[in-house]
Amino acid sequence: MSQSVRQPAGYEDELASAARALQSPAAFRAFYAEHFGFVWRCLGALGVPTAGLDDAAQEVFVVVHRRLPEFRGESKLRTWLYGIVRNVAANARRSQQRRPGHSELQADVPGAGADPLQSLETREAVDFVQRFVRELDEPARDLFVLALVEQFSIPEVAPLLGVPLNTAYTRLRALRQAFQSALARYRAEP
Amino acid sequence: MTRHDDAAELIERARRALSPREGDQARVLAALDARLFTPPPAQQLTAAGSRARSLHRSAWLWKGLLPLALVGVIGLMVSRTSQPARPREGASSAAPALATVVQSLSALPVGVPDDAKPQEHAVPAALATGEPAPGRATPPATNGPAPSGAASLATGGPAPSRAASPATNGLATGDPAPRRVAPPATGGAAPKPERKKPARKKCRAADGGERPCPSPAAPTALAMAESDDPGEPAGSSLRLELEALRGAERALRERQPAAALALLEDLERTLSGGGLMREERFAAATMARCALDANAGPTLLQHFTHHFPSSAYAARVRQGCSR
Repeated sequence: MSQSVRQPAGYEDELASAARALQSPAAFRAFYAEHFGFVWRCLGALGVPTAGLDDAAQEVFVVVHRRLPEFRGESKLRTWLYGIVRNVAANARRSQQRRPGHSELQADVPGAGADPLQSLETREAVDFVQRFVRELDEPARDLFVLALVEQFSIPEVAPLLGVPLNTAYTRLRALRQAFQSALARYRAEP
Repeated sequence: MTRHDDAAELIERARRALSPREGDQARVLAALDARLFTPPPAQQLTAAGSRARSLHRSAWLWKGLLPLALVGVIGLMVSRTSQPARPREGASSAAPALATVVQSLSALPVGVPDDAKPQEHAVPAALATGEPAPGRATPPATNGPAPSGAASLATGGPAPSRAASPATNGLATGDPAPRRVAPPATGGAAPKPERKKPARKKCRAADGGERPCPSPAAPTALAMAESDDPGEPAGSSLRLELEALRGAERALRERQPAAALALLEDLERTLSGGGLMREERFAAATMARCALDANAGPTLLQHFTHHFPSSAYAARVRQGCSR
């Protein structure tokens, strides 16, 4: 796995960003502002329920704060961050499963004045994506969230998956097809 | 539209919906600030530091004595099995030794300082005074009695950590630790020794009140709708609801309120008052009725806002009913 050893392009900037985040609370807050959206979306896509997103996001940044000194620039900062998000999301899902009887709507309530039809379609889209992601195995889940939801390039994602570049491309193609087929089946259902 | 475009559009829509809304970032940041950057008062730190050091010493005491006692027991057993020819003598000579080992094992906690014996209580007590500790914080309900530090947590103080085993010596290092912002405590100052039976969870009802959560044996329609298998009845009920709502919306757009209302009434009969999207159904039905009878608009609007005072659809219903 030579790719995981090779430093990605721009890793010095990433290291500098990580180092800055450790210098002061203000710098960490800037780091937080930069990555919050990514963390929040990934947690949601990985199936963390809406009610648990606050706690899960907090947990991610607490772990980031603790582990930033360990970041060596061997992967992109966001890929490294995603590793933390993935673990926190898995914990959140497990704790959710331990609470039987607790359920909630996965999608959030739309904003005031939203078109009911649009909000329904949005809710349906989120629900479909979350269901699809839940049924994937872990590498495919990571690939889906990073490459298809977050639009990461495959050279960025491949090191996290620990696979060669070509394998990652092949998996992505298969994943796209699986998603399209699942969507077609879903739409075709009476 | 190709399948690829359709899939890409759906993912993009989900991505937008999963993005944080206004206020999410600031809310989490405020909680995070309290966990990471609010220092505990210096006086509390000093008191807690000495307590943590004492815990650290007791941890090493445990670490040292326990293996010794175990070695003693194993040695005794080996010596007994290696002397099968003289069981009576062996037994008589081993009995006092065994008694000594058992006594030493049972006496172990006696040598431990008082504040370290009941670990679950000692650790939160130390933390309650403001000592930061490593490890993941867990809710008090899973961890024995509520620590008295919970009150300070709500104001940004340090958080309780999982009750560490004696071998967990991180307490003495005084490293700053991740803290979880806990819900405000009811005020207890000292940890209570007995475990409280957790109260039955309350679920928030649609009207804002609270009611006991349904038991797992009787899953709600919502829970069933969330199940993984799309072929389950609840999944199809959600689908049915979605389809009917879509149809009603379409009919409303095409200025056919009677058709929309018929669809919604059919749906109500099918769901018998249940279903997940009661608010959406109510909104669509109100708009359809308003379209049918413009004079009844204000009454219908009032009826809707009475049932759903903070509805996201209020503006749209108001618009539909004031024409």
